[in-house]
Amino acid sequence: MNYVFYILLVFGIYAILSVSLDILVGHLGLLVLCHSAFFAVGAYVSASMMLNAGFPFTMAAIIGVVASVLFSIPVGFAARKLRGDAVVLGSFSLLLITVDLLENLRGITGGLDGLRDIPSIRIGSWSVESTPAQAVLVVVVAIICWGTIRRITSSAYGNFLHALRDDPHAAVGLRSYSTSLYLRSFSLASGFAGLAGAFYASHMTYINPSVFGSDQAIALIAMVLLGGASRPLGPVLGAAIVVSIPELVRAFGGGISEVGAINYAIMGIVLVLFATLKPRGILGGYEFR
Amino acid sequence: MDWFWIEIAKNGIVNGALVALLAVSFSWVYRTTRVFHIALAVQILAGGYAAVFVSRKVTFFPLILLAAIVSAGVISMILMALHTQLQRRDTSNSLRLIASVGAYFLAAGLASLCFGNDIKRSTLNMGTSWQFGDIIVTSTDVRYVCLLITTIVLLLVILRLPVGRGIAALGSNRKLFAVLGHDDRTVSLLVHLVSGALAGLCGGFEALRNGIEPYGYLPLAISGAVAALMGGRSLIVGPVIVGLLIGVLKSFTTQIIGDAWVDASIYGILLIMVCGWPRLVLAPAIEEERP
Repeated sequence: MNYVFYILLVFGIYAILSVSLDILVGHLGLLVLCHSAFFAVGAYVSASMMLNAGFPFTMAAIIGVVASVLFSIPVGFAARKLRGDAVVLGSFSLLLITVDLLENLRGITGGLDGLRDIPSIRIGSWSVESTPAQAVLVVVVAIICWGTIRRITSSAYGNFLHALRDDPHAAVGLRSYSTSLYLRSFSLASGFAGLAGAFYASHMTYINPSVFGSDQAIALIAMVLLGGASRPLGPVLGAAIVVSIPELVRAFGGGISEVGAINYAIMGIVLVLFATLKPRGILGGYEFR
Repeated sequence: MDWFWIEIAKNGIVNGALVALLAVSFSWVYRTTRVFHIALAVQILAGGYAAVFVSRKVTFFPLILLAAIVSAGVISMILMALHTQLQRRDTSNSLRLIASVGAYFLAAGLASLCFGNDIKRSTLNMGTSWQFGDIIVTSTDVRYVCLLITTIVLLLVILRLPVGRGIAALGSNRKLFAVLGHDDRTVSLLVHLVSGALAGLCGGFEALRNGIEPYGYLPLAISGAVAALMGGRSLIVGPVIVGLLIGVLKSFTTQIIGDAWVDASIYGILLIMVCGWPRLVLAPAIEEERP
């Protein structure tokens, strides 16, 4: 039973990540590959706050979210003038630099060994140590995040985002307002990614740079595009599919060493088939032009 | 100058030759099809595994290289079929990039399933080495530089032929090229085969020198892409010069500030280029995407 709750918990974390990434990918039309860098900043900062400063989880998570938002501001500022391949290349480079920094700043991040013995989730006097309790908490937070993002993207703000996405020349008409939209979108997306990072670090109690690398970035993009970008339930469906693939592989055969390889191959097939046959995703979302 | 620094420069030129060859391989596909060719790593992988496994049975070096070229060529045909399919559906450049990334994931996963995660090494003796003062030159160093020079000469000759002018024309304006009645499929096939042969040779050389494992070739492909993008719109000279410069820069960076920051420096340069001069490195792609 614990296993089911564990999968639910992982799904909850990835649902937060994919729904927040959809703000940038589906609503703003930018194929951003550095979302796992925002995730990493949230995870590392909140873990460091708990380990080194002795902060409780809630305070550490808030600081992690703030750090993630601050990290995203220059990214959003730079992204406002880029489109197409340039966004993909720029964001991918930023991700690889971030992972390199996490690996090399050993004094702060623990280097390749990562951070260990991160305290578990604790809200006030309520210690959320069991997997079922953590799963329920994360799923509730994921639902709140989904509702918040859905409300924001359905508002006038969302319409402005869609206008920018569908007609890049609209950015010229909106002038400085477009910069504000980019910054707000990146802040919003990275804030939720940072929150997911804080939950991830406290649940796993151990993080290292390999968790936040290019594989993770591609998996997150696959979640959004597979389900259907900018559709309300698209990224959630994508997260459910991508999270369940390795679990199904584990359940139906293959040793532990082969699960990673099979997962890799299946992810590759999904991406190739998506790009060639179903570019709008399962629920028929936004198609990149 | 100290012999030590000359040795570092020599190593940089040899490593730069590898990056330069990959840059040319990337550039030929990218400048003609607009696909950001991450799947270059798949061709390197195919060439590498073929070279290692053939070298365990045969010691005749040209045959080993031929195996690397053929296996990478077969992969090129598959990738070309994928690119053609994407072009027929008029998909965006971003989706083509996603498909290319997917092809890499698929190939790396399959390679891991078929050959395992451990490093496969060749049993071939890679030959002799010579000493000039304090500098040691190995036969692998000589082979890399010879391969680079041969490639440059051969490709410059190809570009002067009618088919070569077709490649340049295809890169400039695909639609006009087709409207004027030229066969873009033949030219596209040649581009993919040349790209595959170069990547296969690089993969073969690298695998014979350092061994091969399924997941390590994405950074190498990205180094080639960086050199190709920074080399401007040229198909050969620009990517070669920047590739050699990156090799030398990497060699000196490793020596002065350590191995750990080399990749970050390369990605940092790419980030600065993309953010600062996106039209310079990605001009055709950006112009095509604007309504």
